[in-house]
Amino acid sequence: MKALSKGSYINHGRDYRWLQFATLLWALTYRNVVSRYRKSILGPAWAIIHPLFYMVIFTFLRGVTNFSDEGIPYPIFTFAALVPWTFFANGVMQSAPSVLLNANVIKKIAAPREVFPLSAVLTSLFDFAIAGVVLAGLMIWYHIPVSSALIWLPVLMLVTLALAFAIGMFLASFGTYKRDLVMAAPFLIQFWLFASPIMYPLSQVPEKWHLLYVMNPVVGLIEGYRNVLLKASAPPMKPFLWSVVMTLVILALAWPFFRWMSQYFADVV
Amino acid sequence: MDDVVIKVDSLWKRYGLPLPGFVRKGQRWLQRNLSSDHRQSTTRSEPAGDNHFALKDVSFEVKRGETLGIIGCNGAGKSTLLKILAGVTPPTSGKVEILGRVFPMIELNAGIHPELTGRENARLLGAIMGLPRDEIEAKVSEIEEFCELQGWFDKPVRMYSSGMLARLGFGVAVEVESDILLVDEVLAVGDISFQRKCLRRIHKYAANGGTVLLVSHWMDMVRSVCKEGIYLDKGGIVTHADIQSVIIDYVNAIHSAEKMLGTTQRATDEGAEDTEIRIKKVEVFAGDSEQPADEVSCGEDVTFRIHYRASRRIENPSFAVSFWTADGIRLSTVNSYFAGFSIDAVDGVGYCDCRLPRLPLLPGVYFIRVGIYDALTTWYYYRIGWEDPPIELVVRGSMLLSENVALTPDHGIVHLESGWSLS
Repeated sequence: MKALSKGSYINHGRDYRWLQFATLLWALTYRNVVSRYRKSILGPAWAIIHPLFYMVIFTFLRGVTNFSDEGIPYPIFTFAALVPWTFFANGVMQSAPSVLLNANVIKKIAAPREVFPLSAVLTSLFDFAIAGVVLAGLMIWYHIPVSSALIWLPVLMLVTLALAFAIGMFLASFGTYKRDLVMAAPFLIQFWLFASPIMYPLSQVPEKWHLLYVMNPVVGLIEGYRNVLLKASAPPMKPFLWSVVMTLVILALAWPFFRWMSQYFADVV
Repeated sequence: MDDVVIKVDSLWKRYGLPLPGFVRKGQRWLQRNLSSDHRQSTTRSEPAGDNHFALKDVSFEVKRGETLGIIGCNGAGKSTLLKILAGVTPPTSGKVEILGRVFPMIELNAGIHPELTGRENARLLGAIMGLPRDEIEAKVSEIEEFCELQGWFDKPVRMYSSGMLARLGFGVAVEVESDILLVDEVLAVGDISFQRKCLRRIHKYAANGGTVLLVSHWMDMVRSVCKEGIYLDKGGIVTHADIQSVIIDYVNAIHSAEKMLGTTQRATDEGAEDTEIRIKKVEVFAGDSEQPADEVSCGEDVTFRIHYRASRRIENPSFAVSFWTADGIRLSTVNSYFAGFSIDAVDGVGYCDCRLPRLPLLPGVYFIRVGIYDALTTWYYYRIGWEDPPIELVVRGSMLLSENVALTPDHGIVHLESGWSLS
């Protein structure tokens, strides 16, 4: 058989505008959020059960081990890290199968496929907002003073969102072809939880391991949230900058990879 | 490409990720070495589907306002073609150029969630089909009206019947403006009045200058919507012509494939002598011709000659011929006994002629089934076309009503004589 030249598809009439993309993104996120809680008794309360549960376990564990709390009441110390962590973890875990779960939509429309992992991350942003209210209540309870450092919060959230989106895109693009990464995602996240300063502070990690430990882009973010929320200070500069750089690098690798793989999603889902 | 809105040039399509060679080799190596049953996996070559092309060298053009029907057997590549035109999956090779907004009327309910209400799902579907938010809000009430779901519109769609779901999907789809409509067998569900409503919409869309590409197995629908047609088989175009010729080619191809299966069956019961009477063959004569005809024309006199052989004397038989469309609608049945022609008895070999003056069938492919019955009990002695493939009747040409007014398939299936007056 003769060699085939590469195929091309040009549509002169297609103008997929941002407004359509935004509408679709919003609609998918709305569907994800509403469908998840409509038939449950506790509803959106589920968004806080997950981090609360971990908080209780960690507080209990602290009785038998010795985690430093850097002078902050331990429950709020760990909860302030658990809430953004849950946002990140759910974002990643929900975007990994997002392409598979939307198979019939993918087979039908030519919209940019990024919309599926992105809406998964936004869905977990909704949970983050609910858990955030509880976190605020807890902060008032423990008399944590509110400071001007809170202006860092949107920046931290944006980086967290971008990181979850980037890793989610990577898992989704590979996982759509071979399910391994979709199945590995919860396990990976579990491991990642312990490799991040959530039940313990960064300062407790031995100095000689710091360089390696800070490679984890979540470290700078979690420490950042803790600084901003509890310590009235800016995120620790070095780990935070490292998080931003890592996020950009992962995004720069995962996005083109996803772009290329996503052309063929309709063939394999 | 002035008014050409779809241009497909030597399009090939193979499903799956076009992996570089070394990745494929690595995958095969992994498969060989990780598989527990070593012996079996080494003998297994690459899966047969790996090099399978869903479309092979397909080229065609569609002009603005054209209505193109795509027909063919399952797996011929019809849906793949639509998916490529919709931009959902990329062509492996070849060029596809499209001018205009494409709307794929495929899987209209893709994306809905059973826990959301009809209204919420309508918004979701609108977003999936590419409507911007403000347009969705403006059209929700129109959609509600079109769907005719009344109180159900605000109930979760998990409570809907499949017909109600279809109405929801279609109700949103008709609100989407586009230049090119790709329709893929969506009207199979829904009650008759809903199907009619959908058909009217598509007709209206075509009448307003919209371009329609329709994939369907329902020949009457293809015929009524489309002027042009493509017959796809095993990924390649067999015929691209006016819809009538395409349907004839398609039905012929299926029929000859069935006939090949059927011949062996007929040969076996040829030897069975226990049948009291059998039909040896049926010949069709057009006009006064002495030669059996392959095709007949609309409006000419047609004679069906039913050759029989009886192994004993059969009292009071009746001969019957029934006429069917390619979609399986029984148009009519003529029966010698009902026509007032009573036969005392038949014995041995002979034939019975059934003459239809001015054949009232418009051009198309029809099937006829023939039987010999007991006139009184209507129990059949022998019949062909029921357990075995029916006889094909190809009607070509158009009946000229007056000097230059011809009846075409657009006008329906049968011709009715009519008289008119004005007062």
